[in-house]
Amino acid sequence: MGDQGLREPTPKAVGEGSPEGSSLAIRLGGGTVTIDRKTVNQVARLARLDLSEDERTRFAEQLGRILEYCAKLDELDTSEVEPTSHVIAMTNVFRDDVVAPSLPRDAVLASAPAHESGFFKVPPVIETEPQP
Amino acid sequence: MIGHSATELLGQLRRLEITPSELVQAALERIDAVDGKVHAFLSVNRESAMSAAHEWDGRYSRGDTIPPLAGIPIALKDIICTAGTPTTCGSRILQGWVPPYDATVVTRLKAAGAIIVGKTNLDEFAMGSSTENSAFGPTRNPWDLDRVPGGSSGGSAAAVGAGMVPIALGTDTGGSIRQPAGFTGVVGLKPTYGRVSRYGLVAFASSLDQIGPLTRTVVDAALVLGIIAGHDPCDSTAANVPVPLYRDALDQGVQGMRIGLAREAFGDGLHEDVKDAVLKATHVLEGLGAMVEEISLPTLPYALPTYYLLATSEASSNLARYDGVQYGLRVAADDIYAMFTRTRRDGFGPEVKRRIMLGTYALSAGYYEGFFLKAQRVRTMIRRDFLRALSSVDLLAMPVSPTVAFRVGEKVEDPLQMYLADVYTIPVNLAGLPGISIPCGFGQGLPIGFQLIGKPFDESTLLRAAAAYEQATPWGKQHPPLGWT
Amino acid sequence: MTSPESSPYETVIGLEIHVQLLTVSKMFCGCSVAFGAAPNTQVCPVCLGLPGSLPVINRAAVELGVRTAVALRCEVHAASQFHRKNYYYPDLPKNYQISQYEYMVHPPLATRGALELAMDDAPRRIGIHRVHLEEDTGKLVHAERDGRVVHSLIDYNRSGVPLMEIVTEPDLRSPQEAHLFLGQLRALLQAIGVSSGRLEEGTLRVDANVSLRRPGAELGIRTEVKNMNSLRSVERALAFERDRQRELLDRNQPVIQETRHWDDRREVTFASRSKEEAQDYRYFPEPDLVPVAVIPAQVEATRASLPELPDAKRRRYERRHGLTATDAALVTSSAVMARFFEETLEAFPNPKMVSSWLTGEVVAYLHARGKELEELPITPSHLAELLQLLDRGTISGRTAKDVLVEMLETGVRPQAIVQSRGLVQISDLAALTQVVQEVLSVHPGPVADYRAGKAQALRFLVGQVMAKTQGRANPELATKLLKERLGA
Repeated sequence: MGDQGLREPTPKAVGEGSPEGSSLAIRLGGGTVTIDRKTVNQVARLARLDLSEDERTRFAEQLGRILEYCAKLDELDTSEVEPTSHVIAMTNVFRDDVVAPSLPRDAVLASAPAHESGFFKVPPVIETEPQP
Repeated sequence: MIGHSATELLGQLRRLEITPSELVQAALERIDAVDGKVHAFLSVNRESAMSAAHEWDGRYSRGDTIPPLAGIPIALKDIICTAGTPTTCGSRILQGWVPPYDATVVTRLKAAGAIIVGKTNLDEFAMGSSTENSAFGPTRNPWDLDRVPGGSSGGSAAAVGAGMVPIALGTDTGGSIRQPAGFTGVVGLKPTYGRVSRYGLVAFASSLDQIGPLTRTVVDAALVLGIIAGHDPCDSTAANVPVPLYRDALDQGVQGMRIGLAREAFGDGLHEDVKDAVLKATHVLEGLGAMVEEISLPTLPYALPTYYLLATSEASSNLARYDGVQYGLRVAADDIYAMFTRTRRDGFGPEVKRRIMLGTYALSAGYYEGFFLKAQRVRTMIRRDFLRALSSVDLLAMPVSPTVAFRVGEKVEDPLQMYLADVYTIPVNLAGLPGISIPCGFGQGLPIGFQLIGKPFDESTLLRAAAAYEQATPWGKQHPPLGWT
Repeated sequence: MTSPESSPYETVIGLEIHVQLLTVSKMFCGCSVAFGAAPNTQVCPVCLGLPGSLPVINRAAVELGVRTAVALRCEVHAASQFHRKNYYYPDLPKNYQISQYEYMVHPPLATRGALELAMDDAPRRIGIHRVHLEEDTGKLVHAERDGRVVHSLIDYNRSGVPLMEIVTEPDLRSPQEAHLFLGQLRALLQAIGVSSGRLEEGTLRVDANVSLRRPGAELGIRTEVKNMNSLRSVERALAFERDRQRELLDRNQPVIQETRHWDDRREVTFASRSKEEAQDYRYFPEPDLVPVAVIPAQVEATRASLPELPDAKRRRYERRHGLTATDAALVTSSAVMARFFEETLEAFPNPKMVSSWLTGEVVAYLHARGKELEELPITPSHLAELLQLLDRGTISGRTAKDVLVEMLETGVRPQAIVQSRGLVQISDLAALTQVVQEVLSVHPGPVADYRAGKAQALRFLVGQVMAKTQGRANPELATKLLKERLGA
């Protein structure tokens, strides 16, 4: 067949169980991907999530297992395969450069947790970030 | 009126046997009677629904031109923006947020005369397969209130399954229309990616999300698709492909149609009940004149990890905007960094946080090529695999889910096991193809659905086969034991 | 401070320029880009990043981007992709910016172009690394009380405004070159109608990367310099940074890779309290936007539609009108100035005089008053008329300068000014002879000095004649008459 880099699964008639190869069940290997605490902290900071101790521990373990499962993709040789960013084959979708009505300001600010003189109001935005 | 299809109700409305007000009133009464137990709805718009109904009363009685859905009560998954009414996405972080604009599908449905009765429950930001991840409590399966209705469009599926409304809109990123449709015994259609505008759909995974109908019958699904499908200048990913008259395809039968069964879909992990029901369904189609043959989809086992890398990566970016600045929840703090992190800490549930973490990691420096880009390449292989299979057949048939509806609480602790519920639906989103779930039997008293998958923008063939099957079988006429009168 | 010429180090400068494109609506939505509206009145679900909103690309922004890329002789890529640049900041509504990243799989709009720096000796080629499109962020202002920031305020009117980013190769070798480059780039952008290019108004923004190295060695550690709000401050900031790095290196101290802000008042760069070190932007292709395809025919059509570019115009002025490279560069530094020059030439075909007066007296006036040429109440025919009066000897050089100022101020024609103020140059032999005689009679000292061989004495005497005639004497004639009288 035309696909590159696939291992052909042992052909089986439909309706028979197949113990390995083409299984869709999640089988985990020997725990090779570990997400350490430092990584969890870095990722949490990038994602602006303030996680509890408990969550950090739990995520370290769960993410490790999920990522290990995702390592299954390494079984496929994708060196000659283009990545898909869009499943739809279109290009040059544009709008004309014309002004359209904006939202009325009270609609814009209606859901604002805080606003002042037409601006959204937030606590001081300082350049530095606290280090963990 | 409970359990009737919209098509039947439209007939009654046109013949002036019932009025829109009576219909909406019946829907509201049904909601009052059973939704306390089912919890399909997060919000119900009584006044606006009744006032819209009164307007349509007048137009029907005067014999004005009636658009295709006039007077029909519908529900919308609470991830679709409705101007003036709250849209929570099942999340505390958007609790009480009222969008200042309508999603394109809402504009189209309103123009078609549909009456929006309320917004339905969902897994938070559409992330889940059971509707247990909603910040506002789970929805229950009308067939067994101790079980989940599936997810993430569990509220929409339950609303239709329990006869509260004949039509609901859901969204499907990895199976979130088809899997709950299967669990609740209704029809659920995920259109081809790009068939329906995503403008106003709060994004989870932008290259996978699609809006679609959950209905009691295939004819209704065709009707709704015809209204919501089509090009939209507000959505750059909405295709400029003409929308056919789907009704025309429905009575053509399946004589000579070729249907492929992927051997990889019938291996480990598939429940015997489900396997039997799906295979029987294919026999029915053979009996109606279709030719069923075995094909291979060798990339199928790779779909789940591909999806969980791509969908979570896109989601981690799409959900970055929830930070307390402009709308929604804000947790007070002395500086902006603390405001962001505490708002998101309190506003997001554990599944959402988990996926944001996973997606952020997969995109981060050093991991982008090995995870995200790799997954995008495998996605190409999966799409090619499906298109190759569909070049020799007209449709593919597959289970919708490996099991029937599981119990509330059964899988919540193990995310990986929960992800497995979408193993047959996810590949279809990755390939960007249309897929439909239709009731095909029962296992342990619970509905089983089977899935048909079509070529890009060939919903007509999909609906045609589904309709033929539906007409030849009794499943669609069954209803849950939930005070049905 | 040792002069740069004697420094053992070579200065290496690269520039990142953000250009606001001349469109009427935003990059991804129909909101107006007009300046000066009340806060949050030019916003919509898309540029606010509301849940469910989606971007749609402004066709004109792409056209202007292609136009710029062609004018900068770049390779315009057949297909380019937008990407998401993910970071958190309150002026960024979605907490990601839609931009274009350079990645092995997806190129940005255009790469690998060049701009030639007009230098008097030989032009230097400055490489353009890439040109890409992106959306602007909103504006953040801080509310202070007692010197402390108490809260911050956000206006999203600017969010989504179309920007084009131009990144140069690190080919600039001095702050002066950077200044010159920016002037030329701005002239180019104005000439092709892509941007108004005003640093002071923020339609052109510049960040610079500066490092030092010994000639022939590897590139040194570079610092990024931000917050330079005029061409002059770019030059001063880069000079300061170069000198600062030089001092560090001379003392064997390392240059720290960091971002520094220019303080125009104190005239120093200072390390900004940095955001997260080495930001991880997690770029990935924007799933909501399909690729932009530009076909060769479109590139050709764009090239054919470009007006004469400032570079070509500059070379033409050097060739046809015999201007020096510097003068030609000055005259072509803005499209308006170049047009003014050409139209003046039509009425008064003396390019050297026109260029010298335009780039000399007129530009000095503009700088002193902080104005732009197009704001003056004069036309090219005004300047041509003034130069004609000067050329014919009707007025003296000094008078001409005074008349120019009044003309620039009031818009009154030079002929009328000369008439009404009685400024006609005195060239009447009899009248001048009279004055010369009077001057000679009251300055016997200088007369004697001159006859003794001191040439300066003559200049003094000419000055006296000018003073006695309120500057209206024809200086050449006055000199001639004096010499005759002095018997030289």
